[in-house]
Amino acid sequence: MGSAATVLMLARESLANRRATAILTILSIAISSALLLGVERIRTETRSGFMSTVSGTDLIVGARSGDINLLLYSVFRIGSPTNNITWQSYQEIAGQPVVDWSIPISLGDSHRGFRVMGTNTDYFRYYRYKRSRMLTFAEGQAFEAVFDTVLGADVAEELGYRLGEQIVIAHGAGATSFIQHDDKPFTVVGILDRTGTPIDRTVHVGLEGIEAIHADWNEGGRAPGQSLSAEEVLELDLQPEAITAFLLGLKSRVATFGLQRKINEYPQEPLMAIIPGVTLQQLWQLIRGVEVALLAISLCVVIAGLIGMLSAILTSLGERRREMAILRAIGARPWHILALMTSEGALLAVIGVSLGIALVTGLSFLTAGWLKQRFGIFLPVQWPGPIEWLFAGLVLAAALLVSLWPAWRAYRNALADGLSVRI
Amino acid sequence: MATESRTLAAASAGAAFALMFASADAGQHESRQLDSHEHGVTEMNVALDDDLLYVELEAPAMNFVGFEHPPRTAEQNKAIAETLTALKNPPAIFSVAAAANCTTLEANAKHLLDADDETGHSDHEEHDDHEEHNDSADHSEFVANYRLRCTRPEELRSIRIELFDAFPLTTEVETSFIGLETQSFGELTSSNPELSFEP
Repeated sequence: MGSAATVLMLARESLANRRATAILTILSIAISSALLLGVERIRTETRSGFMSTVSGTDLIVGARSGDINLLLYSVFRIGSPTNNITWQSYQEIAGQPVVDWSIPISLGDSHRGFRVMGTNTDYFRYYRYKRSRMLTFAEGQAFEAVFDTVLGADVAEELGYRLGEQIVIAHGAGATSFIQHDDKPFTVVGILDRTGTPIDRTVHVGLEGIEAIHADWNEGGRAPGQSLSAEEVLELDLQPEAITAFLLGLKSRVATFGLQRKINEYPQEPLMAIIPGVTLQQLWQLIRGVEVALLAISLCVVIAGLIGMLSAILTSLGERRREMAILRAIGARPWHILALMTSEGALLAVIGVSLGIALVTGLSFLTAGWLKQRFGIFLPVQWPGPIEWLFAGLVLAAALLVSLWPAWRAYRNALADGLSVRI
Repeated sequence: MATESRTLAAASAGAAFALMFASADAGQHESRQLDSHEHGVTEMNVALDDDLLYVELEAPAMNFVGFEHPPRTAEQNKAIAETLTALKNPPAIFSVAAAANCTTLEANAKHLLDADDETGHSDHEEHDDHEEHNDSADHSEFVANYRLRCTRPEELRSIRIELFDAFPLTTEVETSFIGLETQSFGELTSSNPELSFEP
């Protein structure tokens, strides 16, 4: 036992003596393993993030286009809808006997870079995320009046909004818009608890609210000389004529495929229904090739890192023949030399991989906010998962295996050289 | 096989055109939509509601008997009859965990000569350039549906497609699953015949 500790101490001291090479080797292992772990983390976290955004919704219905497109714009606020669908079709389908609940969605406006979604209060009652979790209010309650709004957690936090505040909604979904619905401000009546989904970045208003701010609009712009005040608008019939999409929950799962078929063949309007979880799987299948390519690239980088370590240790062998010979002379057995060289590789790898894990965790902490804002990807800062540990372990094992080679050579040299070495 | 399906494709494209113009004359309000039809690909839909497992299957007849025209010989009639018998036997088509203790309540199978039948079919997502063309009267298909009651539905974690052995022309089964909390999809093949309900 004592000799093992001595070997480790010798390895450490010997490495400390060749500090520059050791640090560079550790860095190359750290960076390559960080890349491997980072790719894996982004892959699994985007998956689980997307997966947990919608739960318990049996069908999503929108204008007929691509099913992945419909899923992305209706639930993840990515991309934009091709067409709207009529209120009448929505009513007809939502009124089918197999339908338990429905949530209409109207998109197209924004508030300081956050998407505005028009819906009704059924949204707060029926929408589920992360395995049947309900939306809950951190403050306030659901909207009631036409000009009420409910904010997602990030919207309230990043813009510093509180209950009772008045906000103005901009036309269009861009981050900056020159056309503001500034004559009809909304009042914040509720702020939702954080969900870790795109809901956190959404401004929710009633469908009537969306209709109201566009009431005096014509052909995509404000009609000149026809502007209506907020009070006048309330007198109008604010029943929307069109919505962007709607979510359906059915009384029985068994009815899903039948209703989906019926909607896809709906004769009055080109509609399309998707099962969100099914379409999500299709999306993953589509990007699987890219994932495999990324993983392969990061594996190659790890291999390059290990080869770097190998060459550093091999190069050092020549200059360390005398070191080995002295060790042998003062009583080290050949297997001590073997252990010394292997533990040197192990030490480099352990420090390198730990640094890699720290790097990934630190980077995911630093970039989490940006990823969320820019791409809507929610990357929780957390301890590495089982697969990441497995990868880290594999890198370590590979490093040990690789360092056996120089160790074997040193062992052979130690046996052959004795003290006769001439340098 | 390839040339045959190409001529088939050309013929059906012609038929589709004729159909389009015919309905254009018929009036403005008639909707003109045709489903796609991909040989080799079978669709299976699986739904789980409490203790009821519902499975439906739809496949171009090509996948099961190797022809889609109306049966002309006794041999072809026999092939269709045999396929229907096999389809009515759920264990030959799919299997689920024995621990779930499922019993078959219902197993129906039909051979539909006119693909524009009311049983319908949903859109295919993939558009491989050949071997795919619009439905016309030249096509026929098999549809089947099954209802099972399971006393321990919590043991149902996946479904396994078994029909690849009996029907070697079937290369892929696009399987969709919907349950109360999870939904899943997989393009299952004989080397990867199982779809987990937990994606």
